Amino acid sequence: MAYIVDVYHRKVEPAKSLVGYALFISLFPHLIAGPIQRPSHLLPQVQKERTWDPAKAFDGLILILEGLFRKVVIADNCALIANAVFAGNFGGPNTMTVLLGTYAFAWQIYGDFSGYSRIARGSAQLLGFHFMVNFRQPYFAESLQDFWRRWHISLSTWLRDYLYIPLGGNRLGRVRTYVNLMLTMLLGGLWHGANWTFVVWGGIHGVGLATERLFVGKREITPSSSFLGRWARRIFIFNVVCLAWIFFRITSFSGAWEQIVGLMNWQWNPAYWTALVFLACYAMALFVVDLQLEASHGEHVFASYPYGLRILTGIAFCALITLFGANQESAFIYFRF
Amino acid sequence: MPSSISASEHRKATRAIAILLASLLVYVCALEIVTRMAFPRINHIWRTLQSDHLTAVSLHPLKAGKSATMLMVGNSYLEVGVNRENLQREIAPTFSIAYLPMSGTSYFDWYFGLRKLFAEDSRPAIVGVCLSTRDLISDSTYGESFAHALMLRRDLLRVKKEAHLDNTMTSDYFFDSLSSWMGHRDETHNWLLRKAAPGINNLVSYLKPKNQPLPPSDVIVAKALPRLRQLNELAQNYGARFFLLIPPTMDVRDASKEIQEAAAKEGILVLLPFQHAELPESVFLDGAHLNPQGAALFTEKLGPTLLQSLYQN
Repeated sequence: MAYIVDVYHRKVEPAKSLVGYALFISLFPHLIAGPIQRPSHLLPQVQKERTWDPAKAFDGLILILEGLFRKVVIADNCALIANAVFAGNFGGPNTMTVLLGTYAFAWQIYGDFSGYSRIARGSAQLLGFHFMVNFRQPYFAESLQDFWRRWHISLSTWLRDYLYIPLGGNRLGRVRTYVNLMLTMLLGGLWHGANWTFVVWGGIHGVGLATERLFVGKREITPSSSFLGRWARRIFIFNVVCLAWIFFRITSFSGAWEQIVGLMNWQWNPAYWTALVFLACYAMALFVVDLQLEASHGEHVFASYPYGLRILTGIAFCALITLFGANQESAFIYFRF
Repeated sequence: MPSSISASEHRKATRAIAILLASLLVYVCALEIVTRMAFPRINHIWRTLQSDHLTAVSLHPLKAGKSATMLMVGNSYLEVGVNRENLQREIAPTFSIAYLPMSGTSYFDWYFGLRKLFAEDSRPAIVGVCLSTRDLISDSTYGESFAHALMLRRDLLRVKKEAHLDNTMTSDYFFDSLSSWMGHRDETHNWLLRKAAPGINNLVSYLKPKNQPLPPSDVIVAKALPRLRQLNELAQNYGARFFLLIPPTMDVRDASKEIQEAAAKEGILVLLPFQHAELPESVFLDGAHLNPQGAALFTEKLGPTLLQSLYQN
C-alpha cells in the first residue's frame, strides 16, 4: 500500500524490475511481522548492487544475539509470570496480581517485539540490507508523544504519514487535531485485531496524546532538565502505558475491567514477593541494556566501542541465552497480528 | 548509507566476525563437555535417573534364578508415591523390582521409552507403567528430557506423527537426542535458578498451567484403551507381562474404574489399589501427589495387590 501511495505521490520511483519489486515485498527478515519497511528506504537498496561489508555483518550478528537475548531470556521468562497471573494461578485480581501481571506483560511484549525486530534487522544486515530501527528504549519516554517515537517506530511513522497527515494532521485547527489523533490511534489499535479491547488500548493512547496536545499545543514536549523530573515523568508514562497494556493483553473488555477494579483490592501472599523478585531480575537485565543504548544513542549495544568489548558482549548474550533462556517455547506475540 | 570503509577496518571487522564465531563454537563445545561430565555429578535427580536406567537395561526375566524381575516406570506419582524399600520387602522373594521414574512424563514418553529400553536389551519379566488417567490420555511428551533419555532416534518421525509435533519441535528433539546439553537444558536452567534464588521453588506451583477438566468417562476410555493395547502388545513382543498402575489422585471422576473394567475384558491388567476419592485429602502433598504418610498407605496396599494380581495369573 505504501508503495502505491508513494509512487502515486511521486515520492518514490517505481521499481525498475519485477524481480526487484518482488524482493522488496518478500524479503524474508521483514515479511512476517515487520519492521515495516518504506519503499523509499528499502527499494533503492534492493535495486542497488550489494557488496559484503564485514562491519555491518558483525553488527548484524550482535543484533541477532541481542534479539535472541531479549526474546528467550527476557520475554519468555516474563511471560511465565504474566501467563500465570492472567490465568488466575495467583488468585483473583488484586493490587499485587494486577501489578505483577501488567508489569510482567509490559516487559514481555517489549522483549518479545524488540527482540524480533533486532533479529530481523540483524538478518537483513547480514544480507547487506539496512532496516530502520524499530524500538528506541520506549520505556524511557517522558511523554506519550515521545513513547510513540520510540515504540514500533515503523508502524507509528507509517500511521503518521499514511493516516494522520492525510486526515489533515494538525493543520485544520485544534478540534480536528484531537479528532485526527484519536482516529489514528483507534485505527492503530484495530490494526492489531478485530477486538474492542484493542480499540480501547488505542483509545487510551489517543486520549493521552490529545491531552498532551491540549497542554503544550503544537510545541514539542521538551525533556525535563532535572534528573528527578526526568525519572518521575518516565515512571508516570511507563505506568500509563502499562494501564493500556491491560486492554491489549486481556481478550475481553469485562476481563480487563475486572483487572482495573482489582487494583483497589489489597491482598498479600509471600509468593507475590518471589514473583516480583523473579520479574525484577529479568526486567532489570533489559533495563541495563536499554540504559546503555539510551546513553550512547547507538543502534545496538556498545556500537561505538572496540571490537573486543563487542565480542565479549556477544558471548555474554550467548551465555545468558543458553543458561537462562525460559523452559517453555513460545511464538513471537506479533506473529498474531 | 556510507558503503566504503578502509581496508584496515575491513580486516578488523572480518577478524572480529571470525573471533566471535569461533568463541561461540568453543563456548557451545565447552557447554556440551561440561554437561556430559559434570551435570550428573552435581544434579542428584539425573544421577539417580542414570543409575535407575543402568539397572533397568541390565534386567533379565529372573534374578538369581528365582525372583521374577519387574520394571516399574512412571512419573512423579511413582517417584513420591511409592516407598521403594518397603514395596520390595512386601513382594520379595516372588518379585524383584526395579524403578525408572521420571517426573512430568506421560503416555507417549513411556510408550517410546519402553521401546528404547527393550532395544537396549532390558528384559524384565513384568513391566508396570504407573500413570494417572490424565497422563494416560495426554498427547504431550516431556520435551528435551524425553528426547534425550527415552526416545530412540529412529522413532523421531513416529513421535512427530503421534504426538503432533511441529517441525521446529521435531528438529529440537533430534538435537536433544544427540546433545547432552540440549537434552538437559531445562534441568540445568532449573538447577541454576534454584541455586541463584532458593525461594524459586515456592513459585513453581503457581507457574504451572492449570489442569483442564477431564473429558467424560466414555471419551477417556475410548482414548485409553487403544493405548493400553499398544503398551500390552509392546511388552508381549519382548516376552514381558504388562500392567498399568493407576495411582491415587484428587482428580474428580477420573474414569479409572471404567478403564480397569474395559481393559479386563481384553485381558489387560490395570491395578487400582485405591478407588477414586478413597484416600483423604490430608495424605496429599500438593493437591496431586501423596505425602510420606500417603505413600506409606499406598505402598502397603500395592504390595499385596501386586502379589495377588500377578502371582495368581
